[in-house]
Amino acid sequence: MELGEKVEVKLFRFDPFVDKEPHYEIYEVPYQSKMRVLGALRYMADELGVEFAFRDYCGINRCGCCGVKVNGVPMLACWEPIQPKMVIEPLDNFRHIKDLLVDRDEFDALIEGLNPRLVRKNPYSGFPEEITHAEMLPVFRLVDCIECGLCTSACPSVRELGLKGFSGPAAYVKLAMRALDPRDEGERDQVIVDNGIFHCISCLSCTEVCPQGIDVFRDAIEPMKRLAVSRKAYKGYKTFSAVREVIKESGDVNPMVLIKKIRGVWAVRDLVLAVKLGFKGKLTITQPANPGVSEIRQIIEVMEEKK
Amino acid sequence: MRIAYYPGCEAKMVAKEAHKATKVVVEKLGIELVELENAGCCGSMDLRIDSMDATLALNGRILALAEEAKAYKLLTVCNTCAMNLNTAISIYNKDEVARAKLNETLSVYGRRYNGTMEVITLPWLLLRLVGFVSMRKATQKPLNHLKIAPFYGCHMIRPMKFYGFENSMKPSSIDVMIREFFDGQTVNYIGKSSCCGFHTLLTEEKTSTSMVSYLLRNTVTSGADCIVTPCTQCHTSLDTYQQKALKATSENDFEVPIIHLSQLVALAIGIPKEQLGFEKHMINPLRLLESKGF
Repeated sequence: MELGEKVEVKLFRFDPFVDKEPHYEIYEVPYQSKMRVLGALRYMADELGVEFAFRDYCGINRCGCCGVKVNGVPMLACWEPIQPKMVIEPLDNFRHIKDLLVDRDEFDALIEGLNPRLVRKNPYSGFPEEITHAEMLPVFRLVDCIECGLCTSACPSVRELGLKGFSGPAAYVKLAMRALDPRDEGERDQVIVDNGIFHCISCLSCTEVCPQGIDVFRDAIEPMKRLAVSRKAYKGYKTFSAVREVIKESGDVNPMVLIKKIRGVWAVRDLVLAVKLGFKGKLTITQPANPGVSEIRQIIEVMEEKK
Repeated sequence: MRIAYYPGCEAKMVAKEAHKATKVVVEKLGIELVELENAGCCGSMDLRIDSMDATLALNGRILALAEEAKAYKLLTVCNTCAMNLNTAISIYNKDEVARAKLNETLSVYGRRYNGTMEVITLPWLLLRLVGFVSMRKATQKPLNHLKIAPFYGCHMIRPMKFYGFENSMKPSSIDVMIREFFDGQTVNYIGKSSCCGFHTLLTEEKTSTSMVSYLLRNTVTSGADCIVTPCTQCHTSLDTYQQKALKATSENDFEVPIIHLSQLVALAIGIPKEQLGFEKHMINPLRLLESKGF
């Protein structure tokens, strides 16, 4: 873009004391060198005299309070460059207070409730403690989390279940930061499951929107699921080993065989659906084994031994 | 061009019509397709939890098989397979130590992975490898009467660092394809980059079905006739569980046919609809297609 070129901003406006429904107002902001989304918001407030509510503080991707939704994608206003046409809205999955302000109380209380601090029960040597890079590797990136809540606002499971049913990726990052720490001695298995981590549908939206570049799914959610499954804290832990068994048996996964293995007699629950699918030719009870099955079985066994 | 084809369990066991349609389409476009018949499962998201090492080794094996078949690229029609294979690629193509360890395991069976394979999905194949000119030439039946809601599925677009193909939160490849190649109409709807909920179907079914009904509701209110998806798992979730999902949210006054991208492309390049297995769908799209003149 060139200097002075007009940027069209469609701003979300909502004042609960005046408006019944939210509405949008359109403003034009001249482009300035190295302009960020926050620059446009500040220009509107300072130069155009628009009276609207938004949060900003540090301006350098550290405080995590200027999260907004620009053209449908959650991002930090201070960090993302301006786009020629922008629709600026408050974050999803949070209660909207006014204009771009969202209510963070429930979110903050949730994180606080997880007790994201090191729990030490046994005496330790004191500070500084001897600890290697390799030991800190699982939590190394997670401590970068600035609690901006972008991942939680992008999460479809939070959208469907609310923060009460599913604490959201941001909370899991804070929990994983301690649960995966080798020094931590807290009882966290049940906390992980109770916060609904198995409602995570592995869509990776959290990873994509993180302004700190944390791979939320692979570094926080997956290891915690692994922890809860390996310690049998989760009631559906059998599903995961059943998949391995089915692959070892036939190389491919036939959903019929898998469901029978997981649910046992209770597979009857899905009988209606199974009959319908069978009628359409979508399911087969017996499956021809994959020609490479013995090789696949041996590879999995070798990897199990190494573990 | 010689492309290796890895269908994945879902296409082999459930969405057999996509398996067939993909083969028909790619062969009609003049590409040689080699199916990796002894490839086996990629591990999905479940084996990853159980054992990440085993998942990586299985995917490494699939990549080695594709190299063995002397293929230029590896095509898969399942998004999660694409992501798992890309996870393996991100490790084995760069890290020689990890590759040596993999080859140690594979050498027992006389296989070896040299770190040269790349994974592609159907939109990638059509947009990048076949290209605009050949696709326009191949198009025989424009899709201009259908209002299509493209649904991408998560693992084809995220994580972006694996693909670098399109914007991971605002995908557009299938929209572009339908509009530019086949003169079709696409609709924009909320939740285009959202999830179909497949990966919790076995553990937390309610979460999955609520995702399904959210998507169906949004596509219907945006005026779409059908949903088109490139992923076989998304198809299973949206099609097979559609009635259950709409019943759970007590919205059983509508239904949305879900069409595989391969089937749609096949229709556009003039393959008769009788060959494409539409009767296998739970929500039969044939009535819609016939009313639109196919």
